[in-house]
Amino acid sequence: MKIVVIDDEMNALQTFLNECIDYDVEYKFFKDDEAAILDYVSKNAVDAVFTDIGMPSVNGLVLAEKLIGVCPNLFLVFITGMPITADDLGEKIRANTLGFLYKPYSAEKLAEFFNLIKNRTPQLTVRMFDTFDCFADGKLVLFSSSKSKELFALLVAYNGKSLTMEEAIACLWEDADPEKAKISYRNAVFRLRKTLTALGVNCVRFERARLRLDKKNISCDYWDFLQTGVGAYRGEFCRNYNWSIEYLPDLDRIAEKGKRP
Amino acid sequence: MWYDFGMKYRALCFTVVGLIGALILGIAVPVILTSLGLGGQPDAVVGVVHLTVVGLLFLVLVVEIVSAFKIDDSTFHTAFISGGLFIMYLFSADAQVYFADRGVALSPNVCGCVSELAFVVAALGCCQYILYLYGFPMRGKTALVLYGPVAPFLILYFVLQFFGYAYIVHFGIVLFIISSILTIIYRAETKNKIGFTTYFTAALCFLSVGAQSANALFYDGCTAALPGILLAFAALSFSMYIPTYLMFAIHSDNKAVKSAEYKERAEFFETKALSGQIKPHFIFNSLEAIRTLYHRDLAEGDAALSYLSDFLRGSIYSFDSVLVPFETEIDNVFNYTEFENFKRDEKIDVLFNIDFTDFRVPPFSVQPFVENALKYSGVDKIENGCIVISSYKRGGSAVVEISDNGRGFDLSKVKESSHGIKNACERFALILGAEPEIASEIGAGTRIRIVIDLKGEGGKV
Repeated sequence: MKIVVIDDEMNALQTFLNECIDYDVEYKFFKDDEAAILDYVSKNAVDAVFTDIGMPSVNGLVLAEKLIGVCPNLFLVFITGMPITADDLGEKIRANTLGFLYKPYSAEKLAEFFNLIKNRTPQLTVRMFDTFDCFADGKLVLFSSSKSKELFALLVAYNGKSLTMEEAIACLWEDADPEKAKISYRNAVFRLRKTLTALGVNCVRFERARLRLDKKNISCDYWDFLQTGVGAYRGEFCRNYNWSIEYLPDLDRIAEKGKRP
Repeated sequence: MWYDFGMKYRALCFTVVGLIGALILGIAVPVILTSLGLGGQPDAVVGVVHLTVVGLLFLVLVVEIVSAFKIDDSTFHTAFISGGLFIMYLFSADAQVYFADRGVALSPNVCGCVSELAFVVAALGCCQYILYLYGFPMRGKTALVLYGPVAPFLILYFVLQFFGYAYIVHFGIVLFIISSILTIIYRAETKNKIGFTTYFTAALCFLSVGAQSANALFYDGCTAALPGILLAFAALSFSMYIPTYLMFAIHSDNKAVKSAEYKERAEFFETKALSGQIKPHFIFNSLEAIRTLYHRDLAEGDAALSYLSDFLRGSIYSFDSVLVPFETEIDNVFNYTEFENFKRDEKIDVLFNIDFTDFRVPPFSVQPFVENALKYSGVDKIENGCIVISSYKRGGSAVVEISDNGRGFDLSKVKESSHGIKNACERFALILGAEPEIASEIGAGTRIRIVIDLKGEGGKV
């Protein structure tokens, strides 16, 4: 994937570099030199252009139009501090525009655009043995609350089966009074949804009082272990979570089987 | 509004009533009175008419006085004017004849004076009201500007009365009262208070002043003079009422359109004014917090910065719309609470109990309540302390609740709630007609409940 990044400010380019260096992206940086940019884009197979809008010598929107003239299939992402939205864009560039990176933007948001350009969804890697953790394209996922993290762990442990609100409450909030438990459940769901949306991951089907995990694009040591009997299981599964004890006997049995010649 | 059938219909009805009224008052009354031989002198039958008008005016008087206490002092002026007219009719020469027939003899001179004085009082009431409308103080040079021309006019009136020509001035004053009443109605409409009382008051004042002017023609020797003069006055009267009524009808219609626009604009600016309510100190404190977080942990700094910038963006540009999807507002609240929690050592448990989101709210209308709970409820100091933001559907309404189990407060002792909360309440009331209910108990917590009718603007998704 080849991208062109345009900003008149060196600092902005530096920021972009800091964020994109972790990804498998071929990049070329330009200041607002219109002729050089057009020349480069016409001669190279560029997938996407990330451009600032308000620049001294050229407006990013005008430049974008010219770039599309040169390369009709070019993806556009505008990096801006202005409250501009797709509605403000001209007809010509709207179709090519993937979205906006509002300054200051997060690494996740940038990664989302890279994934959009590559037309892929981020790969989730879930580690269940020992403690539970989740990684999106290799980066540790920060959940917005510990209970929403635990809920996701339970969902992964359910291994594609539907998880109902009652079951989740029985596992996560067994001691809480019913009304408070329901509130906590909805709060965890709300937060889980926020975390996954921010990652650009769409793997959980949120239904009324029911959750289901779409296992596509997720790899998990626990699932692999169930299938193959091989894995890093050392007698610890989602440590810290009370409900994980119920899973241990089964895991132990599989581990025993694996040991036998 | 012109496209609003009801409004147009009402204006049309009013014009028709006005035309008929003008016809009756301007031509029919003098003709009928003459044919009945009642013209030219005080009469018991006309007295009955006058007393009926007295009754109706009294009603207006009571309504206006009562509402003056509730609404504002503009209705006080209407009360003043209808009071003047009330006394004028009560002591009119015709009413005296009626009273005399019932055995109550009143001194004609005293009654005449009282009646005429009351008429002057009504005229002065109008004068006063116009002064009030233009914001002039009731004293000094500015008062002279308006009272000045009126005073000689009134003196002229009394002088002329001795010579039997008072009707000329009388006519002028009637015109003045009518135009004043129009001004009052104009005023009432710009304040969005067009209602039955306004129409009733206006109609009655028109009719009563018209009746007086028609009657005055007889007193002041109109019938005794040439028929030509009678016709001339009838025509004058007629030509005066038609434009006045038309003006009123068209005016009220235009005003309705204008007031609707005005209301919309007011809403827009209100939204604008308060959405920009991010305080500079909030921004600087936040920047400071971000710096601290970056020094502690890069990832934490990144996350906090992202929440803060989303929150600021949402708040700065929120005035672009009057209503936003509830989910957008919840995002604002979420960005705010997440950022705030980054700053705190003692994290506050904010639970989003969101069960229903298919409705709209004004932007940044829920956030101030959450901010208040975060700042003042003290939930971080108690065990299991939390703030719960709930939304659910109940019947035909969406309910939003912000509750905490913190320290609570005595509602009666809170003098001024924060600017943000006051504005949020106003916007909920103004835009959605929803009044946030605040319930609080010391030591038990606070609950704010907002019920939004899904049939209204809030339900349009």
